[in-house]
This record gives sequence, C-alpha cells and structure tokens, in this order.
Amino acid sequence: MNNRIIEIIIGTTGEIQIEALNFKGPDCEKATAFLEEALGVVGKKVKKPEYHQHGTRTNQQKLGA
Amino acid sequence: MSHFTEIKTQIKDIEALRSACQELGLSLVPNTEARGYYENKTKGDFVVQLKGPYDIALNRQPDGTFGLTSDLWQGHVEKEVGQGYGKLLQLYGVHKATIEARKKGLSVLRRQQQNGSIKLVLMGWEYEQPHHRNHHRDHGRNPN
Repeated sequence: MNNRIIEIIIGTTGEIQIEALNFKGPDCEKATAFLEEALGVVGKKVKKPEYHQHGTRTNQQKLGA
Repeated sequence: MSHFTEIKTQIKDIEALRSACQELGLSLVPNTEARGYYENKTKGDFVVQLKGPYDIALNRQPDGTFGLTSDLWQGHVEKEVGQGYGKLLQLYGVHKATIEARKKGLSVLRRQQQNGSIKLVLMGWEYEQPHHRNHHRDHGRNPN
C-alpha cells in the first residue's frame, strides 16, 4: 500500500505551500526538492512533529477539502 | 514524516506561462512591445497581450527568471490578472507544478478551493517510475 502524496496549495497571489505526507525520513525532502527548484524561491520549511516517526500516516484537512 | 515548504513563485518556464495565459484566454507573444498609457510602449522578450488597453512585458533577468513590467494605471492590468499579477502567478504555478510532476510519472489531481486557492495532489510514488525522462527521477523512488 502506497499512500505517499504531495499536496500543493497555490494561493491567489501566487504563493505556494508544499506538504509531503507519509514519506520516510529524508525521502520527504527529496520528494519535494524538484518542485522547490522548479517553482521559485523557497521561503521557509517547517518540519512537523511526526518528522522522526517513520511512515506515520497523517490526515490533513484543508479548506474546502 | 511531513514537512511544509513555502515558496514565492518565479516565472522561469515559458511553456507553463503559455498554459496559464491560455487558461485566462490571453495570448503570449514573443519579442514584441507591450502597450502602456497613451501610446507608450515597452519592449518584452515575451508579452502577455491583455484584453484591456495595456499589456504585460516579460524580460529575462540575469538569474534566468522573467521580470514582469506593465502600466498599472487605473487598474486595467490588475482587473485581468489580479493584484501583483497574482492570478497569472497562481496559474503559472499550477501548470509548472503539473508539468514537473508528470515528467516524474506522477498523477495530478487539481481542486479549486473555496478561498480561491488551487490545490494539487500528487500521487503515484511507485518504486518504478514509468517515465525516465530526466535526472530528477530518483527523488521520489522507493529504495526497494
């Protein structure tokens, strides 16, 4: 079962937020690197609490989802 | 693990910009002049031709990104592409991210959000990527 996904929220002023879900350890950073490089200037990165919990399933609720 | 990354969009890819313009019903024309106030014109490596009286000129910067120039008088440009070119940048980001994801063999779901944002969900991180078109493909590969 593979539930690794990347969610990208692109706002009305062009600002972009990328979130990688269910990746293990450094795979997470690797998974989003190609997008960061392609899209523009990286502002800040925030590691979520489950950073060290390998394979943790994260359920996120976004606006309108 | 999960992490958030915030990015300020920079226009680097003309094909993604062309798709954004198409979605807005606008033309992207290479190497021409953008219209400004009272017959003023400014040269652009590319020009987004708007439906109103003024256009947007794009010129390649030393860092490889494109700078946007337009006459903001009376909000004609803002009316079509949003404040600070926001709508244009948003759709550019959508198309650029979609292009890059598909290069890696990922599938992309696009959803309009109630607050005007657009959400893309990238799926299909298999241990074998179906497309091997570029050197970035290792990024999403399962170590197995």
